[in-house]
Amino acid sequence: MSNFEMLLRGFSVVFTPANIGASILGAILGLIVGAMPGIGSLAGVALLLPLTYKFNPTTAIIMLGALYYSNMYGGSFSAILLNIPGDSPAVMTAVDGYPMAKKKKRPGQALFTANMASCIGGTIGMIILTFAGPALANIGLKFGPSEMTALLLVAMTSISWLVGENPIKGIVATAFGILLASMGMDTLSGSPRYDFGSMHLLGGIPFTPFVIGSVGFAQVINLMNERYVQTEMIDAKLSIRGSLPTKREFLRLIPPSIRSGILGTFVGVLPGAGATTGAFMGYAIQKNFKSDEPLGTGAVEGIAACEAANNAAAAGSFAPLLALGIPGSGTGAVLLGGLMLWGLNPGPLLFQNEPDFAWGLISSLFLSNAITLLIAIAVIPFLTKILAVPTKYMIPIITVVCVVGSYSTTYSMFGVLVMLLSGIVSYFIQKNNYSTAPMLLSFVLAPLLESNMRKAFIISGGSLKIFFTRPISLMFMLIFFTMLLIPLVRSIIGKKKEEKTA
Amino acid sequence: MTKFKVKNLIPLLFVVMGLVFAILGFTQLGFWSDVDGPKPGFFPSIIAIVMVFTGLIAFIQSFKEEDKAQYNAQEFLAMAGGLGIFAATFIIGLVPTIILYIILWLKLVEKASWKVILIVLAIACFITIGVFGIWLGIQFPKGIFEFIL
Repeated sequence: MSNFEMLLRGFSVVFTPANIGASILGAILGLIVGAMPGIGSLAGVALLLPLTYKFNPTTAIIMLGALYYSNMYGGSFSAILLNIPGDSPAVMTAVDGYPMAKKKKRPGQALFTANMASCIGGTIGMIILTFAGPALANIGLKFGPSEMTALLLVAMTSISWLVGENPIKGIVATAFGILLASMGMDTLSGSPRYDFGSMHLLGGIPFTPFVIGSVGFAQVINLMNERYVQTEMIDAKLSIRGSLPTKREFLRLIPPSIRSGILGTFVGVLPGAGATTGAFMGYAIQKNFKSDEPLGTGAVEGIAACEAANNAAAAGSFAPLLALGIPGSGTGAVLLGGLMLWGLNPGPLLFQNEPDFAWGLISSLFLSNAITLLIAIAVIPFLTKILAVPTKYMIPIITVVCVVGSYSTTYSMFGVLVMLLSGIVSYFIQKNNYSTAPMLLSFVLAPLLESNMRKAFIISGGSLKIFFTRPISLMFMLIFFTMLLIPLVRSIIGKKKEEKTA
Repeated sequence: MTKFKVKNLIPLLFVVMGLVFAILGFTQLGFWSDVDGPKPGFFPSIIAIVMVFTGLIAFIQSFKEEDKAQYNAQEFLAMAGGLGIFAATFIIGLVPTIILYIILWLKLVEKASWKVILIVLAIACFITIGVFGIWLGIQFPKGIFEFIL
């Protein structure tokens, strides 16, 4: 069957009342979480993970997919109306979105432009995903343990390299996540290890409470500083009719949306890059093209370029996640962890063994895109009220969700303890410029890396040659070592420059 | 003399953790078997060694980097709130603890009005009892009352 036929089969899976309902619920929750400054898609997906336990795996992942995807839309709302991005991918949206809303007094048009560009960019990303996902899975089928080990090393290193200012801290955070994941049971023999005599640790550190704490509770602690930050809301009464762009504006947003949609998808496929990098690159590329108004002054092209890119990247990131089992970001890692909780193993065999699930999820993204666009337009009149909810009242509510969510997934207060401790540890490491994204990614990928690495060593009889004699693993190992060496070379060049200037 | 701060302590804790995992990995779990190949301690021990070395580099770097981290007493209040919920759940159960936490937090920390407290309480109860308790069917711990009842 062709990809298109499989996609249609996926739609037949999606079009059930439960899946459509889950998609709508995910879209609404994602928009709200995305619009609230300071929560973000990672914390949003983590906090809502326990809610999906009610559903079957397909419906649960459809809801999480819709939530993640609609988050990208929601992030632009506060960027445009408050000049505070709801999420990091919306940082660039504020550059043109806020001036358009404030100086030009056209907040509705700025929101509409962001929504339309998000939809166009996302659709492009999904069309590419439809064809690239299975193709990537076919390549993945050729991977043995050595290739998978090398690929996982690249994925883990690239996120430590790309996130944060200091790659050494990224590697430390990655190692920390791997060691935490190694507690409990040995992946191959099943014998207990690093349980420190605790009965609770025999099962390892539970994934959901760990994620809720690392991103959700840590965020609660950080929000304590933002309780009294005064924000200047755009003073305008918004209506759907009054937000419609002119025909000229509509025509202006299409070319940057298409360009950024294609670019963003490929950025999203790269491990570690994700929606934020996509948005920055989309905006940077747009600077090379003609705009009716200069970028940064409220140009439609500026809003469209970054919004289309971040939504396309969000769609594109599903390709390595589904086809190779490798998430491109912290949020992707949480989604992967969710898939594993339901017994699904993303990877090259997913499209063969679970076609209904894989294609159902891809089809659901198309559905979520359309639903999110409709809801995002429908909520425009209520946005000023939604965004006016003070952060200080959000803190106790998020704390309660963290506690109850952690308890509900483990049926034990041990889950709550794990959530609290991981939140406190994440708070301290974040304060000292260690990113939690590599920690989460490595926590999820560690069992896969370990089993592949050990299998590779069993095949080779303990020789490292296996990683350098096969062409695909050799290529990945070269990328891996290059990534390890780049920070070193950069620091040497930096020191030489400092010496010259001194 | 340079003052020892949290930014120096964190990489040092990573080094200690790496050492513990490496020692346990090599001595108790085993690294390599000539018959079976890698043993349970193989992978974590390698990662632990990487962590010790990178942790040491981060520790040295921490003395050179500017200390940007600022700690606010309010942040510790959020931690205390979470730990308070954990401790009180063992006595009065989870749902009463959450209600008590919301009231105390909003009244004492945020100095909120009773109207706001009731609204936030209604949202928290809807999530806890409505969504998790009724919809998801979660049985919450009842603390010492569980044993009395």
